Amino acid sequence: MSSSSLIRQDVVPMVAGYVILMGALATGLRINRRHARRAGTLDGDAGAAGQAQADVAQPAKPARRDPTAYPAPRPGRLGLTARVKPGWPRLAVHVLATAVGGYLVLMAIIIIYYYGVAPTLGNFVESAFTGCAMLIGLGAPVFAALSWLSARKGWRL
Amino acid sequence: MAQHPVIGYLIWAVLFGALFAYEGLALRYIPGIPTLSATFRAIMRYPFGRWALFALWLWFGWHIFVRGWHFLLRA
Repeated sequence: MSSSSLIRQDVVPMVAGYVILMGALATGLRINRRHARRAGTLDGDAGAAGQAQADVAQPAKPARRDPTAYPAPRPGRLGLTARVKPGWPRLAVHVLATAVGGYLVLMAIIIIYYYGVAPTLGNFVESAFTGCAMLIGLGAPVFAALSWLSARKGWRL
Repeated sequence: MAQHPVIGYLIWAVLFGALFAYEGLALRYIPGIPTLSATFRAIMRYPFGRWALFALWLWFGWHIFVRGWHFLLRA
């Protein structure tokens, strides 16, 4: 295998994956810090002020904040899930909206990249369309079953 | 074994090592370093973040389980 194909087939995908992952982490970190600053829980002036207010309101020493604890997800900006009855219908709409949205985002990226940037031969794009749809078709029932078991039977992985 | 898989494995090992090291630091409650779950939870607060992560999951799963395989996983 030549060095050019090595770069094209191995190095570029790995670097791209790394950049995407680190980009997602950086985005999450920025969002995380912004929310923590608003809540006054980050170290610094805002955190000290928030801690002082907490001390006045509640003399007992508060427990240390769990870094994994965040406010419950708010309804999406589209407000689709907020219009549905809470419970299983809302969960179903939420999952369906996420699956359809994610599928469309991926297909849009694939179409733009493999038709506009780096055209490929064969049935690569067609396989991406059908294969990803099949994954959703297989994964959604399993997710629904596990959710039902988790909610009704208290079953956990 | 050819030269390029070794390099690939090494790079993947370094990447996953960095990832685990990052998560380890975050789990030590070091200020300013959120855990991966907290990070992804923050991303998933927004619809487009959920779509992007789901697209990433689809892309990964398609490469791992679907691409190059045939019906009933016959290679």
